[in-house]
Amino acid sequence: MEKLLEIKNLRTYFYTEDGVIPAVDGVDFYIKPGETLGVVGESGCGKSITSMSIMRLIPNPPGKIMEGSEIWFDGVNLLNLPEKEMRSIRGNKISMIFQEPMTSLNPVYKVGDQISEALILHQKMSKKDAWEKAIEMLKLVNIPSPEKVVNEFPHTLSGGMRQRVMIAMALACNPKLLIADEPTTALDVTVQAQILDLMNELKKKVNAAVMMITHNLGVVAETCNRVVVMYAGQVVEEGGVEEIFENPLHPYTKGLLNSIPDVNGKKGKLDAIPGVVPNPLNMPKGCRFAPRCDKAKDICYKEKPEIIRLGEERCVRCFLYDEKVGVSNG
Amino acid sequence: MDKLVEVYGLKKYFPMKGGFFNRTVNYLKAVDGVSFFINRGEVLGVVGESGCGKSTTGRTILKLLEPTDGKIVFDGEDITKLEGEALRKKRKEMQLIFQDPYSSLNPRMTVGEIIGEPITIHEKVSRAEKLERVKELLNKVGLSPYHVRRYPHEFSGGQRQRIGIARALALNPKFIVADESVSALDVSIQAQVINLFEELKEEFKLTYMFISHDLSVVRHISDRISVMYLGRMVEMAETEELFNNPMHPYTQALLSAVPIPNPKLKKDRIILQGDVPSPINAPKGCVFHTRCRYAMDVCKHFVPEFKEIEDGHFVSCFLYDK
Repeated sequence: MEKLLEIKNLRTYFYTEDGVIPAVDGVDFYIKPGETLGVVGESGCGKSITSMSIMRLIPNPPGKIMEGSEIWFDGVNLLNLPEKEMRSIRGNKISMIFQEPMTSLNPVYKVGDQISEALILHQKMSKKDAWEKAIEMLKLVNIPSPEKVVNEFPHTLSGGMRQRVMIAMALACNPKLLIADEPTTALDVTVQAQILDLMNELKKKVNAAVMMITHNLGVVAETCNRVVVMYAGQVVEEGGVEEIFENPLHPYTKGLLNSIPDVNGKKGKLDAIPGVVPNPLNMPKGCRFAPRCDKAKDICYKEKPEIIRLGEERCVRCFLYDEKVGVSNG
Repeated sequence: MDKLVEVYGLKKYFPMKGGFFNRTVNYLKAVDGVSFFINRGEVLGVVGESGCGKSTTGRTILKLLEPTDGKIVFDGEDITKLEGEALRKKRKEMQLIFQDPYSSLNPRMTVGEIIGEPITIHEKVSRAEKLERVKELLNKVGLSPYHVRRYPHEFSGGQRQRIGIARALALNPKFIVADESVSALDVSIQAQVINLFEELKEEFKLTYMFISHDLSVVRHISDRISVMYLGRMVEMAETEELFNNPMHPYTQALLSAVPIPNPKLKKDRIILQGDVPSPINAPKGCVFHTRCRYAMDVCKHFVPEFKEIEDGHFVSCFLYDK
């Protein structure tokens, strides 16, 4: 099958005074054209660092993408590209929406200038054409009176409006891949509903693939086709969205789903995952989830589990599903 | 039923300074006429979007902010005009737990000092006795007694929130306002802290006002829920009643907007147009009429009354005005 983006053995380490932090440690996944992939996990699991690595935006030093990592996009390995060519991909073929619409817009430039910048740089448009296109983009993201908003500065807009401007900016060059890093986390629920609705609608119009990074499982269920679950810098489970929610395999995925208060309002104790995420400077020797796992066996503390492929689009990193180890499923 | 907290027509306006001689040019009406009550031993959830006045309401009840108008009755006593030493004594009985476990703990104090401080202020106890109580509290919130000498930066977010909870419990309060207390935490840690809240409620016979924007969390923990919009309370009912039979158009939209973690469930979503208006220039009449699907002429001119439509179900909307 054709793949738009394929990440192979991505390792991004940070060299700090206290030691080496393996923020992303051997991540593999792929995105097909036009699909929405959800990347889920808690803070510090490496989901944002993965997206920054794709864009090659990791500050170096202290960060470093290790030898042997591969990021294939449209037939080229992004990690081998010279900086100049990388620049022609960023914001053009791959663009990004950030969590904080307040801090990711430049406060001293008009909305129109910020949207047209990418068009002038990448599409070699004239200033006037780019400005027209900016208005068109604002119309596309359902901003009322775009001719007026295009002349506004970001601080005059509300949070939801700023996120719409961000989306307009990201889509201006018709990217093939849109990375959305927690796009609705900073927004209120009713505004979140507006933005998710807009993103679903636009995705159909522009036919871009979306990598949706989020910790909100509700957002994943409503927007994604496939899901990658990350824990402590590694992928622990991957599968179609329905399989992940109906038949989660990895104990962490199960725990995560059980931690959300039941939407049907069932009372009683929540099944919390005990303990905390491991310190990245001092990762457990075996499986990284073992200290919090209720199914952990001896082997889980001693050896590192490998990814086990269970199907074309299904895999899990857990000894429970490893036949060689002889631990029965369950 | 026995009411612990009763609030009548509470208003909190913040003056906006500006213009010549720094005059007050306008008022930001953060809370604009809110009435409700909390029964002893129950959890009242307060939901609403940012800027709706839910935190201001919580803080005004605790008298951390001086109310502009209205009346607050706590445990049968009118505390609206209470000040000085009398208010300080009353504070023992009501505590606040904050949202951000990072900024609400003093980084230069040890955990023992943080939790012990309210005890030192309000009670005359020996050092040894205080230490004993701090250790007991740490145990209660799921930390270890040997954490006493550590500093906040040595703890994770969830553990810090536990320290904040221990501090709030130090004086055996009757009433706790939890202001977005689990919002900053990851889902798996959030579940641990919610469980802790429920255990402590039973053990210490607490009454909570649980402020949050996360509807599924509020639904899980609350006995009753009130919904706020732009400084007003638009609906208040028992939890299940509110979820099964939301009456106010805003509540209906809010409930339908929550993304549900079930990919098979496709639901009709009510998407509100536009943003919440600014509380400085709140719309006349019903504050929600600018975004309401059912807005009528009357909504633009008159403010609907907050009335009991069914048993224990309060709504402020003209749709139910007979």
